[in-house]
Amino acid sequence: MSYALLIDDDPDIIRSAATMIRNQGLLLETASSWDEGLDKFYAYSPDVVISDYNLPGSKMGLALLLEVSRLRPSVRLVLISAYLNESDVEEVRKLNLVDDVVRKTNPMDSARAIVNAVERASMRSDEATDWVAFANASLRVGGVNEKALESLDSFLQANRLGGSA
Amino acid sequence: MTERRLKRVVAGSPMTLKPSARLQRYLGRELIADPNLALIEFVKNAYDAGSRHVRVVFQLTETPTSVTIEDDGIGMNEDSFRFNWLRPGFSEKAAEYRGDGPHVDAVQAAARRAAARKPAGEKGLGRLAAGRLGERMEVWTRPSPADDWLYVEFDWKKFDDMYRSMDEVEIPFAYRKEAPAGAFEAGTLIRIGGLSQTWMGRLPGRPSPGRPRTRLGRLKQDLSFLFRASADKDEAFEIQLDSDHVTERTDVGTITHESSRLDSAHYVYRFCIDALPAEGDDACQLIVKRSVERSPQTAVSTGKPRKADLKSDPGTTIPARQWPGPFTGYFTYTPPPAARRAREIDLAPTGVLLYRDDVLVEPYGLPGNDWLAVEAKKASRQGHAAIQPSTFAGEVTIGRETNPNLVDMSNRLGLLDTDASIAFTRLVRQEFAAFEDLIYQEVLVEGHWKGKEQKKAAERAVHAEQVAHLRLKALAHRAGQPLQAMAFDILGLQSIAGNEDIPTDARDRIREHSNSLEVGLRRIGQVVEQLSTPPSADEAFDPGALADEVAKEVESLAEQHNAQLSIECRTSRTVFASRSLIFEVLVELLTNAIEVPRIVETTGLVQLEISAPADDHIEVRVVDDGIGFGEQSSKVSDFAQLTSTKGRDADGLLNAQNAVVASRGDLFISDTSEGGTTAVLRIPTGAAPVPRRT
Repeated sequence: MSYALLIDDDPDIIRSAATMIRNQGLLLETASSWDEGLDKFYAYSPDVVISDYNLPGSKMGLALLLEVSRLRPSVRLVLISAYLNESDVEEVRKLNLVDDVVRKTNPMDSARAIVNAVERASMRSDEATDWVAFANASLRVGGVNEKALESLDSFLQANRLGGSA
Repeated sequence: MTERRLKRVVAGSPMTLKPSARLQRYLGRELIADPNLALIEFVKNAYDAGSRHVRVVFQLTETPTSVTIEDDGIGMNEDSFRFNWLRPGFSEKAAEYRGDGPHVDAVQAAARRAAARKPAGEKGLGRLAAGRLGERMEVWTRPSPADDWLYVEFDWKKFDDMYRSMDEVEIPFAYRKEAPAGAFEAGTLIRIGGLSQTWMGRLPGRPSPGRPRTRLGRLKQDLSFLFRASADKDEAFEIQLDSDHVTERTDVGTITHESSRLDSAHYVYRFCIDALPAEGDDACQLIVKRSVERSPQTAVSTGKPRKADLKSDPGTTIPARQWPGPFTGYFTYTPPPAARRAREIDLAPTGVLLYRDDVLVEPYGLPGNDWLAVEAKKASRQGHAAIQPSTFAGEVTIGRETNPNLVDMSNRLGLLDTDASIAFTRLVRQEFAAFEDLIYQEVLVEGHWKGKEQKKAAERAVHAEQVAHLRLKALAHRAGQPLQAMAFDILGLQSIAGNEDIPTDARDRIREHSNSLEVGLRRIGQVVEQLSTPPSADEAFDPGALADEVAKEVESLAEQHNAQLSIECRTSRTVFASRSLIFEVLVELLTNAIEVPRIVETTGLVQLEISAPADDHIEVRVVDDGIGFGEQSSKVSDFAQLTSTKGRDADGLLNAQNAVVASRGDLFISDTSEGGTTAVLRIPTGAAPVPRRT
């Protein structure tokens, strides 16, 4: 059985998403800050981490995703955000760090994308470990251009969060 | 001998005036104060003689010094010289001249020119002014190259004896085969020797603004304003000024009468003052016509037309004896730096030059002559004058025949002080006041103070828009969070609808409700997204493609109202505007057209036609087949007066219009009736605004 970890600071989203996903028979842990999320990451070892970009706590943005990715390279990462535009999403994808980026522009589409990510993680856990994929994931994390990531992270935090889009 | 002669005069009968020879000295040497004006008298005579060229040449390094004025006009033979020249105060150019002078076989071209020109002088005194310039005057003159030169020599010292009468002073003359080198083939050459003052160097004292510092430079400037630069002049009249010694390089040269004043002016104010006999006796009713011409740049900056007639005062009356006769004129306003440029080009003293039949009435408008009291007015305004003397110029034109009451003084110091001349000055000053009011309003109030207010208001508006956008974005984000939660709830409901443990009818109802919720949520999600997106800046885009997007947007609304959409794009031109803004405006127009009530409950038709009727804009016509605006039809020209079908203000339409106008376009209802309504949206194709509908 696989766990999914959803990190979002909005309690309504957490509550509705958890209810819906758990009613599907899937395992979902939730956290409202990055520090709480990291604790749960250690505790539950989720297969997928779905995290909002803008989070309270000691870390936010792309840096925290890189951190969990290093802790366990095979973890699937889904970034969700209401602030990023299409060009930002392209830049994030180019980093080759996250598996998916979900913009909250259409609530139904983003909800479905999150549920699908959890379902896929659950399905994968029923299968035998794909060691090749595991090895590739390790290589992928090692190949992330950290300078580019830091630069993009700084840009997004300075220009997208509450500033002019 | 002198006593005997006086006795004879006393004993004689009848009494007559017998001017003493010294009168010539007074008239010649002391009547005209300014040597420039004395020299200009000879140039005027040359003009009246039909000259095409006049040369004024100074010999300043030789002793004695001299100045030569030579022209190619009608020369004189001995008879005409005696008849005309030797009779001070007599002039063939005067209105009273009976045409009984001796015949002169002059060069035809010069004769034609002279006949076509209105005379610059008529008093017969100008030639005497030679005494102001120097002690000796020699004249060479002949009407045609076939004649010998008549040479006449004047020694003004001979006229100093007051006991001799004027006609007792003999003036030597002779016929000569040759004139001095450089003379024209025919015409007149006058050489004034022993110049009474120096023409070299600079004038003492502080230079006046716009006035050359050297004596010759000033003469050149005065000559350049002698004749009015007008496009309809019969032909060129050219003055060449030369000297064997110059203080500054620009002191000499050819003087033409082209002017750049009008080209560089921001405002040209024209006036024409005439009068009709008023009811009652001895009064005239003034007819004043005024117009203003703005430079293209000024027209754009003020938003006012290039040319416009101005309102005239209701006819005021003036006593007939004060009526100076009809006259016209123009004033220009040329703010720096254009004023500085114009001054450099023209050597232009600023001021209003007064011309009589194209010839300057000295000293009106020349530097130092502020006959309209512009400087005094500036001083009285204590720094708030709309017009500075340096930004103001103009011309007033009177005519010898049309304004016989306006006579200039023989000393060239202005018009004779009469009721008519006083009224004339007052009328021109009134025009100056009207022009000053116009400049005050447009340049200072609207262009400066109001402009600053507008700029501040625009800055405030931009800031307010930025704040409003940030707030909208924050609100959109706050709205987005519960919407996201609702999306999970809807997915939860849809999941329950798939649970086969639940009765089918309950599942169906849950599915139906959850699907409806999803549709609603999607729509709200779109609105929230748009709220957080600022309107795009102006960009070039294809209106046809935008129309397709708009049609897609309102597709479901059209289905709901049983309306059919038809889109026709007859142009491939792109437009230049805010795409998102035009999108919203078109959605508003199409929504109105779709929702409009129809008489017959059949399928409605909404047509969207795009065409390019002009280069600077495209036109989008949204035509519906609704019942029109009904009782509000008369108000469609003002959207602010319209109410919606729900009885509220038509804010959507008004906001759309404001947005379009702010984007340099236009939006209006061109037609409305019981058969339908046509709304017209004009979108600019470039940066220039679309002309507003008339």
